[in-house]
Amino acid sequence: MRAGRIFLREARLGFAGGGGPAAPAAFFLACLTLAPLAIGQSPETLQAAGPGIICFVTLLAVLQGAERLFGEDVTDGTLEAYALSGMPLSIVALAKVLGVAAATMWPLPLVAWGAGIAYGLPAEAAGILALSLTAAIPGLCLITAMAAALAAGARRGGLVIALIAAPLAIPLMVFTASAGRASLAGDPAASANLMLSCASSLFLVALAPFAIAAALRARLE
Amino acid sequence: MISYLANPKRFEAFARIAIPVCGGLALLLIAAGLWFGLLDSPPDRYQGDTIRIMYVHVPAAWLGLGLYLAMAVASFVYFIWRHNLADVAATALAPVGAVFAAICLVTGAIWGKPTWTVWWVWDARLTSMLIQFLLFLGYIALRAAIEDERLAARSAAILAMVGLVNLPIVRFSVEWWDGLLHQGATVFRADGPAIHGSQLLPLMIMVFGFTFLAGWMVLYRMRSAIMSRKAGNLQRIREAKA
Amino acid sequence: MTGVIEPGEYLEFVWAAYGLTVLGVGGLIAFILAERALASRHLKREEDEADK
Repeated sequence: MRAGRIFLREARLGFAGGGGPAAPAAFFLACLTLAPLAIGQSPETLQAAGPGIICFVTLLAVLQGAERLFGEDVTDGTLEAYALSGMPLSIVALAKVLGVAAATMWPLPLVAWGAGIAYGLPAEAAGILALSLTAAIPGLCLITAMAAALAAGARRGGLVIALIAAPLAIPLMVFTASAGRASLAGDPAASANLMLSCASSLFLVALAPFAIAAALRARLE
Repeated sequence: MISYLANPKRFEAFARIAIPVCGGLALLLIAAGLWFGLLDSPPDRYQGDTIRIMYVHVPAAWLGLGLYLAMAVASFVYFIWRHNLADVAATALAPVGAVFAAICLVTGAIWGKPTWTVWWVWDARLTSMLIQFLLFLGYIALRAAIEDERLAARSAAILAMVGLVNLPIVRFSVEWWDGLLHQGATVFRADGPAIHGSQLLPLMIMVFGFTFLAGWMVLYRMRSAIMSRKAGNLQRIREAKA
Repeated sequence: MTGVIEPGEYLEFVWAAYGLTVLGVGGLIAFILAERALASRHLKREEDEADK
């Protein structure tokens, strides 16, 4: 299956280049270390704010990789090669984004679980948070990819990408962080939030590739 | 009607009438609305005179959302049928929508302080309008960032359409988020417990007045943009010959 | 809710809201008119050049 080949190729490239999975994980850890220093070490505050901060920092970590997603492909002809391959560009886009995500983002939920515990969450709540993050990360990567397909290489590209991606990432932020907070409070709504997080990601998996493909096609012309 | 107006000559003929009509109606209606809203209506039973802020806040809110919808529709028309006029419309709409969204946020805060003691509250309505403002900013920023005009137009069109598709989901998620936090206790409602007849009249007049104002602004900007593009084309031809 | 607000109270808020709206709308209109002036000057310049 040709899409599978693209997935594996991108995963390999993502794993090898630019620090691979270590780069987002290190950035993630750095921000999570910074946050308590900024907001104060009071256990109640950290516990209450923890899930939200961890989700927010996940978004930042995903955004960091945005420019690299399509930046070189446009200039070095890989994009044209993909377009000429006869495969629908949306499938190419999906395989590419998921490949890079799988290779570079897998440590994040693990680090998030540890961070959750460090922020005073009980292990189970931190686990639910990590699980919702695992559900949310593909969605966040697709949103970022779409923003990157639109704005990468433009003036102040990184900033524009973040500005575009932020409102679109709101549903995932809300559901994922709420899942963490609800499971902290023992609220049964936690599973509902987890479901919504998964649903949002699936929705994005289904539709974002078309938007990404449209944006890439516009660049190729 | 869309393909009818997409013809530049027909749009020019349409605009020649529509622009002054919109402008005149806007002036009349807003003047009437101000009269009824500020001078000829009694203060509210609960909110006193501060209810009068509603007469600018609600029209701004309506425009903040409505202009975004218009921008997304124009973007769709441009994306599918490549009518340049649709792209001109979308570009014209964006900053106008952004300004009205900002006015909505600011007047909302000013209304909130005396009525609900805080300048800002993170509830579904206000947060949604803030997101709306960000969507406008993103569109404007993307267009400004991409140098090639055609690519900028097409990318921005895709962004506007994606924003439109996501809008119900974003609003749902914000309502969900608000529900979890506030359990419906302090509900920041734009019209209070119930809107009185003497308040409905100025409100409706102002909504229509502001809508015609926005129409005037957008059509006027479209005309300016067409002039600008024409000038740009002539310049390119002149420079190519030289 | 804070209770009943007496008429005439907080009038400065009403003025502030309307004032800022006037500023916002006025500023936008000024920008739009300036934009038109620029565009029509540019067009006139180019049309004059083309006629030469």
